[in-house]
Amino acid sequence: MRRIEKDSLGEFEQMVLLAALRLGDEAYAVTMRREIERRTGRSVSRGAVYITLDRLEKKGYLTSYLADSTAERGGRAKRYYQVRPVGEAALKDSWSAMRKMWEGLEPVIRKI
Amino acid sequence: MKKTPSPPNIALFLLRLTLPDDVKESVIGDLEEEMAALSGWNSLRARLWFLRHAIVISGYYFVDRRLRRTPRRYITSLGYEYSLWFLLGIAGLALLIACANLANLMLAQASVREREIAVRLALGASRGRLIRQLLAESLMLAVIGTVVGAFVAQGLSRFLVSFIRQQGRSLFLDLSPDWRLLAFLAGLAVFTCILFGLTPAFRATRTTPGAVLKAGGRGLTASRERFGLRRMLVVSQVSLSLILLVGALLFARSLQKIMSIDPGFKQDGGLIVICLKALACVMFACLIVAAGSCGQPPAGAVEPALDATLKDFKNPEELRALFNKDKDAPRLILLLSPT
Repeated sequence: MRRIEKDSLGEFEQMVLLAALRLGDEAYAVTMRREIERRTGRSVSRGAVYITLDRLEKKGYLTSYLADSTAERGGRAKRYYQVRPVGEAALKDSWSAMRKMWEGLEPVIRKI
Repeated sequence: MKKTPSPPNIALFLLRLTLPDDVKESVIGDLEEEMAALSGWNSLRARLWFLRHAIVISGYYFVDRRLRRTPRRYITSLGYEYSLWFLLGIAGLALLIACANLANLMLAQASVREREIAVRLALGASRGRLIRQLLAESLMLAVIGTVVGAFVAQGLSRFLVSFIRQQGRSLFLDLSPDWRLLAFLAGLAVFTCILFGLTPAFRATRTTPGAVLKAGGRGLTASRERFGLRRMLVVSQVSLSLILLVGALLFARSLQKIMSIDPGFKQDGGLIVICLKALACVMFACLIVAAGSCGQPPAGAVEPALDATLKDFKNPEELRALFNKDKDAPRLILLLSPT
């Protein structure tokens, strides 16, 4: 847990990891991007998703495997992503840090 | 379902060129899948869609890789690295020419001393002994040449560097000799000596003494084939020199051209801004034009300007203040936007 503190997750990294968690077995780049766009209402660049997935995998937060090479994909396999326990711990850490910073501030924000 | 359009080849090429191996095929597959899902689009439009996204994705990977792998201070020295390799190649060619020249001279020397060698052979000297003698001579030559060359190179390289140095801009190069260089030189000397010293030695001792002593008075016309190797060396020497000469002339011309070009902006100090949003890019461009039109050079310290670009675009006034802060700030500003 301490290890992750010095390498905390960025906002977009968190979104990608959360999308992977939400989608479970259906998590690959296309669905993850759609999920983020649908929930946040922001438009998300494909390139940003891909390099973030790469980075998270290199850091060990995600793991990937190839499967389902359908005809509509030109016979190319999908790369499915799964959150590893380290990634879940990192998410939990970011969330608890955010929650601590938010604690007691809700009324202040509502006033503005 | 109607037939799906095939992705444009140039997009596939671009993606394969820029993406890391392990994700290449899956990324292409993702794009194909999304393209197939674009219902009601005609083939051309779908293919253009594919191309556009391929360009954006490879742009992301390109920038990401650059930022991650190249520490900023090395980016500027990249250009130097390539020209140094080029210089090494030229030095190698010059060395080859020198070796060919030396070998040629040694062959000539051996043919002049043919008579002496023949006499010694006739008096009973063994072949190995003669080869040893010639080898020792060439080794001596190589060692003296190497030592003198090392000293001359020290002085000359200092002179060359002081020649490159311009007023107000000093250039520091570490010119102290190190053991790797000396070891390389010594190895090269020994190698050259063995390679080009042995051949004349073998040639000189191969002929029978009787024939040489008899042929001695008849001039050199009879031994035409013996000069095959020498002629080959001369030919290769001349051709290598020609390559170097032409290359040097071309370089001198392009150097002259480069020096006389007026690019229209101050060349030292450039700023590359990568804006993540096209709108931000446009705003930044407007700002530069505005700063330039009011008589102030579009200037800004690199780091603050970058920060402001990427983080906060709501306050152009502040950005403008940053711009005019530093007189020595970049004059060339490149704007890139991946979207």
